Amino acid sequence: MPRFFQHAPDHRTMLANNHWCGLNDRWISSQYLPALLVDIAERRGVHRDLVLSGTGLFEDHFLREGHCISTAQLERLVLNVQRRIGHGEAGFLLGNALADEPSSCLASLVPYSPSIHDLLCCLRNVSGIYSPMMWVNAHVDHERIYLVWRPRVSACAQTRQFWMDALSTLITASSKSIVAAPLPWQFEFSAPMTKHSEQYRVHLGDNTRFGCQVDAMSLPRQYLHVAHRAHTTAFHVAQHTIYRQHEKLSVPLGFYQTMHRYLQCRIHAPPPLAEAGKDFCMSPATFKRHLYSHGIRYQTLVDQVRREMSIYLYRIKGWNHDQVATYLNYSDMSNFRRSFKRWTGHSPVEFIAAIKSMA
Amino acid sequence: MTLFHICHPCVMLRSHSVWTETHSESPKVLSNHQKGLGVAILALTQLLLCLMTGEVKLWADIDWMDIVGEGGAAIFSLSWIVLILSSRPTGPVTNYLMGGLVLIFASTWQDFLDEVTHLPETLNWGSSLESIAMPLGIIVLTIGLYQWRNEQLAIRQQLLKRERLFRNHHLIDWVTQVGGADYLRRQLSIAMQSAQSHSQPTSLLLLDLDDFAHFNHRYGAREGDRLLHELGELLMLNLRRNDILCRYAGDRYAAILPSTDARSAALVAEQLQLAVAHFAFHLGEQADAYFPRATIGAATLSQMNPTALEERANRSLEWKKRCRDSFNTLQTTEPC
Repeated sequence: MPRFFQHAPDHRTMLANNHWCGLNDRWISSQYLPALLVDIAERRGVHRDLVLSGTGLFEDHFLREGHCISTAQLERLVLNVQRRIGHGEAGFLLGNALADEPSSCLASLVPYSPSIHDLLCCLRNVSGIYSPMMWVNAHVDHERIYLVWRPRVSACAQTRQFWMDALSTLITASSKSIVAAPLPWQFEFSAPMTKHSEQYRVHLGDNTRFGCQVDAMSLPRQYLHVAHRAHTTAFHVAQHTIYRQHEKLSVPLGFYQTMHRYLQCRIHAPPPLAEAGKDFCMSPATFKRHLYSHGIRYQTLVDQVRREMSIYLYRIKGWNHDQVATYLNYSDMSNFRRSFKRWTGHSPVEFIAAIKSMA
Repeated sequence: MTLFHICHPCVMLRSHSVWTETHSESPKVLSNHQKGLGVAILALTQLLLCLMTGEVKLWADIDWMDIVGEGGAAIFSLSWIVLILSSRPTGPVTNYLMGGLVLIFASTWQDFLDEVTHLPETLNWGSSLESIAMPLGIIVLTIGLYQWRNEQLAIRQQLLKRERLFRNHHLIDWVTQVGGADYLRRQLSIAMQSAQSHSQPTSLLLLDLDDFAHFNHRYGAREGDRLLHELGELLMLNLRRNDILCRYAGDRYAAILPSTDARSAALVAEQLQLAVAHFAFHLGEQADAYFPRATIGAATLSQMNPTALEERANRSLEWKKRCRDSFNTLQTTEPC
């Protein structure tokens, strides 16, 4: 199994709690994603002033070398674009632009990728470039590969589905251009069903589910390693260029991401809020305010991490109820059953039956 | 100039052409900016005249309710003028609407000025302006609205196959200028309802461009948008009078064929496919052209169930695309 697919969180990075970035830290290059978003809106007849309004970003910033914007600014930009471009099309347009536009740094990578595995490896490692709001984890079980997307900096509830639309379209479009045929990707979205089902149908196919537990996409494993072209020097050059670009950007860990990893490490006995605040060098009140400004409620996040872990153990590791309950430090099975129902809305037995019916 | 010269048809023709030329060279049409400036000058003139001929009322004499009511009316009529000027092309209908609204504005503005200034009894031109401008303005506005109605009827002829019975500009797709998926769903339920009352089936065609992503990658997304727009015009020409064309999503178009059975729908689909196959899309000024190809899925249903019809059309389209893909791989892998 390739190294990056292993589920091995790095414990040391989690404790480096003064290295994470918050909503107002500027690290997203304004020459790439913001410029793409402005172009997309202009293609739909929306003037750039309307897109940039309230973001603190001006036209001349696009030409300034090394100019960066914060997550909050990007979120505002996305909200403007979403509101101005109708028919729920904005995310899909961004996804296609990321995969296709000659100005996109991924455009040179996609046509030379020998296999889906090589492409996904590279996309996973440089996710900070094209997806500053969401970060990705890859898991493989004996049948499928799963890409699970989570927020990077804040819970970004308003723009989360926009990013999922864009990322799903990017992955579908780029893998399709390697294989030269559509692949049977399956998509799960945590958002409820939107009224623009036609966009999902046309851009992602008919395998989309809404109201799920996680934001994830999966593909049968047999498509991963089929070589569609040889490992050329051009691919290595493209890969090297994009890795250097990623290094130059020095993508920091987001606050949400850090919190998530911190809790994932302590899943057996999640610390109370005050203790967690101490680990993050903050007083409980400051810590609470900080969480709130990033759209996080501590107990909700603890439950979410537990829920995601139990789903991971059931679906990917194939563990049984007792093993999962023990791993999450539940001594009493009925207690675990009740908690699981509270997190997911289903009892563990129902959940396993649903997984089996999905397969 | 002799009588011969005047009566000779050549001279008349020439003089006529000279007249039209000079007319077209200096069209005396005021731009919307100039009209807006005119309104501002009018409002300022009224204000200055009031200040020059009358005197400002004392604070205690001002009735604030009247200020709010009449000032509000003036502001709103001014905002209508701005809306008309910013949205409509120049022409007779705009002039009538503008003229009517300017008169109404002049009257309400004067009304407002009367509340804050006191004109002498002997020189009370303000009240006469008020009483003449308002009815005149309403008459001119009514004429303008009547002309606007006739203009709308003419435009509706141009919008045939794009809309029927129901209009909502929020539902229009910007790239192709036809209705989007929401408009399609509304029209589909209207069409199915009326077809069901005559116990006739309704058909839906979904048309998808082949290799559109490849086209976008090669020529850029802006050219892709232009292709979609021109394809829409082409499809519209090849549909029947009662059919409606909408943009479904991405590169997928939808055509509602009301009161059409499966056989006729297949015929229309074939005609559309032929039309697309012969469509030369020119890239910029080049003589070379791109010939797009399309795959069409069709579905027909007699019961009133728009969602099921949409789902069936989608499935039919996806099935045809899969068949086409496997046929293509068969062709490339089989030795000749």
